[in-house]
Amino acid sequence: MTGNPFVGTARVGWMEFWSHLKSPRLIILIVLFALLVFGASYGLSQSPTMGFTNSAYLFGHPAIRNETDGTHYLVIVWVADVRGTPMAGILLSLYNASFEPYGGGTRTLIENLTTNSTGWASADLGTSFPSNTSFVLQSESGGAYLMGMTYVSFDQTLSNRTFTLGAISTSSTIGPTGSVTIFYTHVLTTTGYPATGANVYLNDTSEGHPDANGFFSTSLAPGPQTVRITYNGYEESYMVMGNTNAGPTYQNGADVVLLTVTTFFGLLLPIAAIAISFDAVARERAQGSLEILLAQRVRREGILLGKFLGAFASVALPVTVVLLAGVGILTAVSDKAPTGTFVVAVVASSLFLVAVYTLLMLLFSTVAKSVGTAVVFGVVLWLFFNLFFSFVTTFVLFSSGGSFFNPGTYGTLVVLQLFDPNTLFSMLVFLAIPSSGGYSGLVPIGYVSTATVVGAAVLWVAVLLVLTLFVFHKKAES
Amino acid sequence: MPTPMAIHVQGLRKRYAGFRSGVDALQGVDFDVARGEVFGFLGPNGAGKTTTLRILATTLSPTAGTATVSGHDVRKEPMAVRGSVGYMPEKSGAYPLLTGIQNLVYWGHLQDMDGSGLKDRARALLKELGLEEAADRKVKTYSHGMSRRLLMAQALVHDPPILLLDEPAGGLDPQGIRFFRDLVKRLQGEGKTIFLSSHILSEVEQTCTTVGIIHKGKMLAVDRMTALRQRIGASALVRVEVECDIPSQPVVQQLMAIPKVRMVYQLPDGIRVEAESGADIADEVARVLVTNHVRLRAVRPTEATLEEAFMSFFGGGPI
Ligand SMILES: Nc1ncnc2c1ncn2[C@@H]1O[C@H](COP(=O)(O)OP(=O)(O)OP(=O)(O)O)[C@@H](O)[C@H]1O
Ligand SMILES: [Mg+2]
Repeated sequence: MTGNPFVGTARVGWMEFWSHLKSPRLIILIVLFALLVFGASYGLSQSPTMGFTNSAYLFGHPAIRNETDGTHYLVIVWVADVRGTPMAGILLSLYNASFEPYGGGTRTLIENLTTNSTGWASADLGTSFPSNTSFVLQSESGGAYLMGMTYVSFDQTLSNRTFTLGAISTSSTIGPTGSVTIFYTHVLTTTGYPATGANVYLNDTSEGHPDANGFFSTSLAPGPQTVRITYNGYEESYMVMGNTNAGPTYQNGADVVLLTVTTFFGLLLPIAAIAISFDAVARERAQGSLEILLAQRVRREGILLGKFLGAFASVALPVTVVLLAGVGILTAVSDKAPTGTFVVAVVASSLFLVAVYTLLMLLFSTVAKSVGTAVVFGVVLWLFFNLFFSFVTTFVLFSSGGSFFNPGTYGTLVVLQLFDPNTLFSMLVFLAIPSSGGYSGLVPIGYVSTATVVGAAVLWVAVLLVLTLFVFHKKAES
Repeated sequence: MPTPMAIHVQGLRKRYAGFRSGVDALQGVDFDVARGEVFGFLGPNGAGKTTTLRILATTLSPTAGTATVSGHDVRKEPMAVRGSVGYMPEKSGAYPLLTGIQNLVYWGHLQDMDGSGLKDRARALLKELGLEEAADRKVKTYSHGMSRRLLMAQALVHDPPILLLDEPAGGLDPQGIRFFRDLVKRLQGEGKTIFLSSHILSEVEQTCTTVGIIHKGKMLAVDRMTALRQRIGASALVRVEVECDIPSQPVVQQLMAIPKVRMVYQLPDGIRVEAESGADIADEVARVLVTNHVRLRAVRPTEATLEEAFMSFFGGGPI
């Protein structure tokens, strides 16, 4: 007698998987999920109005070039966003500005410029040294790309240098999920070409070289730091400030976008899992096929495991594909890829969420007397963890005299959240994002360790699987 | 060593636990089915037939007692039991969105059969069961009769030695009933043991070698078909139908006074007199009517059919 309790599991699983792949409800939900993931990946990667600021910047440089007919003085302009993606077709005006000692002054338009496909534009000011004059570059493209103006001045010391800096700037966002500060600059040689050989140091640690356009950017840890740029024996140093007051600083801006994309997963992925598995057992019972299935040479454990694997895979597969495609869009739009390990963690955490809701729903589907009851169970389940759980735990915390500022009760609340798969999902994601802050968003250090959170997730799946196998074994026949 | 019995049931009990009160569907059922037998499992609605069949098919666990199928205990070796029986449930249970052939191949897979031979066998079976045309149609388009045939094919797909058929002809037209009757005979010819339930005696009368009668969770009788026919027949009432004018009340009272007469009914064109079994009342009834000047057209002692006898066996309970 074979003792394998899972004979036939693959057959049952394949049938479950295959029948769902063609089902309209899965297609509808996955299309919805894909629209949200793709839309958020695209939108958050570029829009300056949401979450991560990514507006365009104007970098202006004075440059001196020796050409066949003598020494030319030029204003070199490069327009790019905070990630260094060039912006073409930006209309700019170059003015000659003279200042009065006590404010005010006059501007004279010299010429209008338009950036080319690589974001560049330049104005040749002729062969005489434009001393004691400042030039103002102003963007004429308004709206979302309003990036103000920049001053370019020529002075005698230019000839002592080897490079000029277009800007030394930082851009921070602060939100409930933490903050990120990006430091960026633009380095050109004094002849007006990208200083790709320059070295950038943060607190004496080498951070690399500017890119082919002369652009350099990196995330800043919280607090004051020194940036030093050297090129051909000349160097300049500046103080920059990493945002300190909003938790962690993520090491990679693209990670923050991906993190933001995951915020609605707790709402949507459970719906997909519930919609696929609510009737996995209840429908078979209603249509009478369960009676035939139970009489085949398959053990009940085998049937249930097959149903779980099939239902899980039918959601997990398209979800993974959509997620990876979303990461592709994010990377393409922002020109910066999220950290690989973080992408893996987001996918794994999403599949955790799908697995938990698939199992919970299989459990309810087994005990439900009808398909209708199973639907109601599904709705209640979704509401419970999306609405009820945090509400009730927080209410109990406060009504029992606790507060967020009391470490004991706060700790209790954090531990209670481990019993909520939705919060657990968020915790898993937050723990995985590479950050250099004091704490990691949702998971305050000192209350629960990474091992506890991951262990809780593994336990959720393991306990539910055993429980569902047991209940199915007992209740399949009724 | 396999027991000589294909099915052996002893002291079988099943209690469906309920919210307030449970139902004792089986209250100590015993019977044996020998190999090669066609066993008719008869009983009115709610008697416990389906419950017994489900236990034998291992889809339901008994509360107490033992049941062995092909020498394997349903509780201890369910997988061995499943391999040796083909089970046709009472209700249709195919996957509506799959075709007949897809359903059959899936079940074959779950019986450890493998790909290439299975498909041919499935097609041959559907053909044998008259579903050749419908084989590639989704089951949701099947009529009731077609679904029953598909379930029959399902029971046969792995060529099991024992068949458990729960009301195989339930809800079928006379042609369908005949089809199943012939099929059962053919399968018996192939040496299969067939255990089939029904609540219509005539359905099993011609095919079964042995009959077990269950009522309210208890076995009333298990016997060879021929012996049972005599026993049931013996317990039946004797009836005489008379075509005549409607007799007056005093005449009816005289009829009732005839020894062993139980009841006198009025029919549209006469009366019917019922008496206990074994009584020969036809002459006496005629005598009473004639002496009271009731005009007689015909007197017919009618033999109760086995069907009717079966009903009266259950005390006129709902059939
Ligand atoms: N799942 C169940 N839960 C509770 N009671 C049940 C269940 N199934 C059957 N019963 C009860 O058990 C008794 C026997 O039912 P069963 O279905 O075995 O009868 P049956 O002989 O097959 O009747 P039928 O001819 O109507 O098919 C009935 O009283 C029925 O109400
Ligand atoms: Mg029944």
